[in-house]
Amino acid sequence: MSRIHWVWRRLHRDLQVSELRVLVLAVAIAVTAVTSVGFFTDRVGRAMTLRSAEVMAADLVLRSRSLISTDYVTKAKTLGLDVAEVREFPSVIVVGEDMTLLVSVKAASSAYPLRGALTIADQPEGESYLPRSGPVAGTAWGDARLWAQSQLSRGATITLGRLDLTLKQVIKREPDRGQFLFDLAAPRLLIGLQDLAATGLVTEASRVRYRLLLAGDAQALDTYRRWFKSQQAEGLTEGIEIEGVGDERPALQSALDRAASYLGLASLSAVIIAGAAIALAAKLYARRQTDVAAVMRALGASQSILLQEVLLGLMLMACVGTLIGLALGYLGQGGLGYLAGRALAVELPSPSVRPVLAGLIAGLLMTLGFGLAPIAALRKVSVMRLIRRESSALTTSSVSLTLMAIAATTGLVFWQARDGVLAMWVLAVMIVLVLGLAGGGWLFFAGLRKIRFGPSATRYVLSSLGRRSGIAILQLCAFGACIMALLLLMVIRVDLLDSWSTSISPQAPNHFAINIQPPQRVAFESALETANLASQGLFPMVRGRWAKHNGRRVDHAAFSSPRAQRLASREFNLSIAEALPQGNTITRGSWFSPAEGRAGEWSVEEGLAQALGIALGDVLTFRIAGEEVSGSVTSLRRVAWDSFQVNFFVIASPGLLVDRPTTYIGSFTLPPERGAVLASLIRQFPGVTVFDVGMLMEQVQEIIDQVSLVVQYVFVFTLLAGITVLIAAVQVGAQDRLTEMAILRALGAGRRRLEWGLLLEFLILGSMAGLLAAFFAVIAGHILAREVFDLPFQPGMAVWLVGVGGGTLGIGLVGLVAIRSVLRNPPLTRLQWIQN
Amino acid sequence: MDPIVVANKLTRQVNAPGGVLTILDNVDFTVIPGEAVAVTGASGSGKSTLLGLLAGFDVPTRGSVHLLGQDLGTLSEDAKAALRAGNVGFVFQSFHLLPSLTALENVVLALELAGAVEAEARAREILDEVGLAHRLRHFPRQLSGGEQQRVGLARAFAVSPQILFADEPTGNLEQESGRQVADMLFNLRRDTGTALVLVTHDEALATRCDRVCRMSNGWVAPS
Repeated sequence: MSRIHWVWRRLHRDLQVSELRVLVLAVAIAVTAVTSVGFFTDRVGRAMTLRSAEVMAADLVLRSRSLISTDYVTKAKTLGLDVAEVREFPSVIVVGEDMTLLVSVKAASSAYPLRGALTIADQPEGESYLPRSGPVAGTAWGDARLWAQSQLSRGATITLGRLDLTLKQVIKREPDRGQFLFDLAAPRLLIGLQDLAATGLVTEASRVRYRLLLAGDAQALDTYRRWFKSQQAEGLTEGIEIEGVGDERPALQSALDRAASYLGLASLSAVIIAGAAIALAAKLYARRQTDVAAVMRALGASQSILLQEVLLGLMLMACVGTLIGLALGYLGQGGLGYLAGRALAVELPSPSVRPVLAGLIAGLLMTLGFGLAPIAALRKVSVMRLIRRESSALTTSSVSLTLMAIAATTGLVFWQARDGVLAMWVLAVMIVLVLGLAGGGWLFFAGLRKIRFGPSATRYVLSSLGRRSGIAILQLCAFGACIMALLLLMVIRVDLLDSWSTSISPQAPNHFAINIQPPQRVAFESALETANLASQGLFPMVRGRWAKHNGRRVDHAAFSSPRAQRLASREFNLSIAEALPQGNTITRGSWFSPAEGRAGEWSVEEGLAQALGIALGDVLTFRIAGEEVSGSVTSLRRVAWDSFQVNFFVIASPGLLVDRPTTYIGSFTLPPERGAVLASLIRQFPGVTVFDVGMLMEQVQEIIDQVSLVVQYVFVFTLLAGITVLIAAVQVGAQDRLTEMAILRALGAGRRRLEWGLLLEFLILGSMAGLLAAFFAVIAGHILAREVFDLPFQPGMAVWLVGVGGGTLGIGLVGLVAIRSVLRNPPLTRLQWIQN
Repeated sequence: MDPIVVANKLTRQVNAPGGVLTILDNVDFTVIPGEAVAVTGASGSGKSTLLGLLAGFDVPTRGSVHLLGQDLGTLSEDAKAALRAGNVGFVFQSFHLLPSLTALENVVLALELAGAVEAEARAREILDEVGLAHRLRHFPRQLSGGEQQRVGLARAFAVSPQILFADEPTGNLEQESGRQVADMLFNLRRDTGTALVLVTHDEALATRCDRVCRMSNGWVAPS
């Protein structure tokens, strides 16, 4: 009979034993959590990629300051790609007899947009709808600001260059608005590309931005991109830049990164709790298999045979649990995808295979990490126990168990959290938690041993708990870790997500104002104040190109990633600050010293520094208005981009940019219903450019909504995993408790009295675990909020109430139900079992 | 004829709350091939400890055990297990059948661990000899105590061991089942020529052996 066959037959029969079922269940729950969240995040991630494409109105964009050759269009069409052309430039329209209005003209071909939706309405307050095509010849569409500022009604005639156009529709949503943030000074006027020539506005000297939009299947896009690169290598693409999905907008990227951290952490809690259940179940199973292992040793089985057998068995169990988990995970993500799709009105792409692999690895890694040590201890079983039962009970080395569990947990944490900082904190919190629970438990049970008062049943229970402190501490750790993970998830779900949500909610600025000249600064600030618009103040801004890095000229083509190339080649907005701006955290180095006489210093955003290979102490030189300005990098900062406050990649120390051409930038919150205020502000400061970032905020809010939904879903898994831990932890103690109870019953103790004793025991364990867990959940919440999510955290009383109340009641009930059945059996049954 | 088991000045001490407790004190013990030796004595006299040391289950504090010509003190746990496989049989008071295996599978497992060929055929044969041909597919929990111990005997004798260690083989059985099991044990031993070390309280059972060693306070009285 083959080894696998043997092992399988034995395991198949052993599955009748509850602890193996708990083990399989725990693996299944963990794998379900990992795969369903994996499937879901994979789908949401790809949906967000599509959404990014929406923001570009295409999958791939070619940009140029001059006319893009038709060769690029021909090539795209040959590959079967959809093509649209867009040209944008600032101009002035004449309204009526003498009114002129600065506008940002967009002339688009009829296929525009290729991705995302352009929605329009017949009136500024009208219902928005999807147009069948772009503006027909002789007509124009304007955004709400244009309608407000020109005070025109539908059908009015406006003149653009030499062409008269009829104003027809209001643009409600423009997918790629905000591509050129600093050019969005003026309201939008959209015309058909066919009308552009007739305006006579486009000449060689015009400041026109040309864009060629491309969309289609991934393979064709790849081919096109490679072809473009080859053209670029031959120097044939002068002035044309290519941009794909995966842009450099830090607000969206920051929100996505934070979302991944939340989800990783949430699914991790289910996985780690399930891991605790696996460890407990494996310990119980090992205990039950001790005699089997001893008999096999007596019959001549070597340690390696025994080890192979237990490993094989464990892996078979892991496979069973994993397969169940994969199936449930697939079903689960389907439901979640459906819910998310409905809630967010998005269609998620179908799931990929990658999460299956992730689930498989998670299942096997967890089983090995948490279950191997107790089961592998079987190989060292003493055969002597077959003759003298009291000799040599099976002992699992707690060191090896802990090390294996730590190794597995570390692997899982780093893998799932997708963020080194988050992973380190989670690990640190876990280690402190286990040590804290074990230490707290040890002190508590040591105290219990000394209790010499109270009714006999109560005294017996307390001293019994104190005497069995090893098992009791194990139970306390399991219960405590379980409650703590649930509480932490609650904290994340309720408090941290709320904090995140409010960090961009109504108070967050939705409009940015730039090009504020120094003499206008005070007037603009007071205008905002008069209009009662919330603002964080104005910040100086100097524009400069990155010229040298440590004295060597910067060659943007030398960077390998397209993002780095774009970052290096673009014009930077440098600011000047004496104090560290709000929402910024120094991650390396120190903020500018107030001491006079120091050389110029830069503070650089850490993401930018990483992308461009900038380190602390590097000397950066920027070319500003034809002159070079150098300084050394003295600090790296983390910036909360998704706060929508004004933030800068590079900040100069006071004095470094003196006498350089400076403008000011500010942000303010404008409620949608107060559009008229904006119009008057623009009239008052015609040179100031104001643009809104409402759509970007909407996207970030959508991500938060999705995260909330998934975290709630993961919460259910964690709860299920928690219940399996409770069952396993109760079972661990049950073996000893059952024997005691049977003896006490045989001696005449009444059922009610024993039930009370058991209930009291579990109530004590539950309340103690709940109290310690709440304590650590609050600490962990503070740490995670401050160090990882960079959010304020104010835990409510709910954490303490749910921790202590939930722990006491939950564990009391589960414990009582689990052991009550025993009290119904005659004591002889149990005593005979012990005898045999 | 060379002895199959030789114990020389065997001492076993354990740490107890009151200090060091001596369970076996300088015990000399020898079994020659084919010989049946009973070890009797009161509870706590050290019988089970002696059996455990002779079978290599435990390690003496002092002294040595030679089993089948090998000094157990020089062997690793795995080497002792390998020495036992196919050469040494065991019968336990609590039967110790693997609960998740049928009667047949319990015997097959022992044969496979001993590297036997045609394990299943041999297992069926020996189970038939102990009168359990109709119980092959039954699990231990579906068998009576007497039947379980007969499976235990079949498992022990299936590998044709040179020596069998039996620890109170009838201790958990009522009188009639105990008698049947004892008869089978001695018949199988006689037919196979297997040496036997039998630990028992039962004087009647002990007297069926070639020699009886009585233990008292860690000493073996001369037989």
